[in-house]
Amino acid sequence: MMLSESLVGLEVKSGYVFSTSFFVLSLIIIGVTIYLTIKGAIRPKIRRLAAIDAIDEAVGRCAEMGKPLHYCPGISGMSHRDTIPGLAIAGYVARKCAEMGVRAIFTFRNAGVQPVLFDLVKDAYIAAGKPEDFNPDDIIWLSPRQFAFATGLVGLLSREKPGASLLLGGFAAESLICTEAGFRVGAIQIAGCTNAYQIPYFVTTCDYVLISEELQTASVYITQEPEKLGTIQGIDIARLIIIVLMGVGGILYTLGIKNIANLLAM
Amino acid sequence: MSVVARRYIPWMFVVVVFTIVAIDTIAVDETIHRWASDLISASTVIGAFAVLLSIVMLSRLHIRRILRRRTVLESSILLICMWITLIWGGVRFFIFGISPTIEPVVQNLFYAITAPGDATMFSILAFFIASAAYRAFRLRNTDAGILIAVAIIAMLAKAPIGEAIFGKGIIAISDFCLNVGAKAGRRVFMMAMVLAVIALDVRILLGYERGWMGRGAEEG
Repeated sequence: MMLSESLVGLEVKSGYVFSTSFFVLSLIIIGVTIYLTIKGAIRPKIRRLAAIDAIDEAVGRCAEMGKPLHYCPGISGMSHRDTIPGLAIAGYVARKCAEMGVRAIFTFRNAGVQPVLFDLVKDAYIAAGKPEDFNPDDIIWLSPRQFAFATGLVGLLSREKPGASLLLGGFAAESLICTEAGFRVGAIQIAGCTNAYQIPYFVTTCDYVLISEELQTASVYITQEPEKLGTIQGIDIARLIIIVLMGVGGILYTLGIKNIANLLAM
Repeated sequence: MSVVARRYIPWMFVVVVFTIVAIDTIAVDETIHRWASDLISASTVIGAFAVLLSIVMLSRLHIRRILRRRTVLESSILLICMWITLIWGGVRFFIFGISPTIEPVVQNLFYAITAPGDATMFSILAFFIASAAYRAFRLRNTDAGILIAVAIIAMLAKAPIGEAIFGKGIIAISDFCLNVGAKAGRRVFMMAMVLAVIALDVRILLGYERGWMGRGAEEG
């Protein structure tokens, strides 16, 4: 076995070596912080995420108004970085809806999400002690096509007029269509994704937005489990190292010393 | 299904797949590469079965709607009819080898309904952007003021009238805003997201994150 072609021979780019090394370093840091958190040596805290706190408010609003709640874990498949946190929050939302007697409508685009979402919602209703309220018809696959999905969602929001619409997961060009439809029916909207091009659309149309990493940390924020909190502490340390490297690299580059810039160059 | 089968088997499968694919990314070994390719192909096949499952679920939903004579009955009937047509196209391909892409009915469904529908929704986006921009560009505080100023500069730089009035300078200012300010902001997004994804991967590999297995975030 030998190193990948990108790492050997004349075409060696120091950035690849650095990124691979930094990935391994991040894993080590995260491992150490998880260990220390479980042992109780450190007690990480996550700052308040208003968008997650607003989920309970959104469910309560739906209960008061007698309206359903809409939730979409994004248009991406199971392998997408945003779908997994989107599904984790879906379970929490389903449980809250079950407890408060709110009808929850779940929509998705990627067929691979369906069995997982189905199990999550069903388990949430069982955990809330209301398995009889679980309605499989409220977990709706709208379409595998991006804009057909958006059309279906606009139609569904117009017909059902939900009190709240939650869009937490991977979204692309259809994001504004989905949130504008929610805005027009007067739903309280909470959205989040890591796609930097879609976040401005969410910010302009939604009441609360989870930006970038906030979506991935949402499941940790909900549960506050020590081992999960340890991973957040670990990435904060890794982030600090990157910020220091960027700052020092920027100053040195300005002074004509390009060592750090060359190390990071891809 | 037992707790062991439901919780540990998928998790162990993910750990094995992750390890093989990760090694394949950073190292060159023919055997590992073949295993990784096979595993990725397997995920595609499993994905096809998931589509089948979703089709069954959605068919059941719409057939039930038709039988119970619920609202928007016409849409459900239309959907089922179109599905039967498309499935027939697939069956003909399987039995007679006639490609669905040259099947006139399938072609008509695509060119007369799907393509114009997609184009319509995409063009509606332009009006929604204008509507969202109207709400966003309100001078409420200093931050909103900076946003409006940069937006006006960027819009003028992209339109011929901007250059005609202010010359090349406005294009340089716009490029500076986009290539320095906006790009720096986007890189912060990316950096934070990549680190959060690493943490998410670690949580999945260690079995702390269970949402992808169909288990709630708050469940053990």
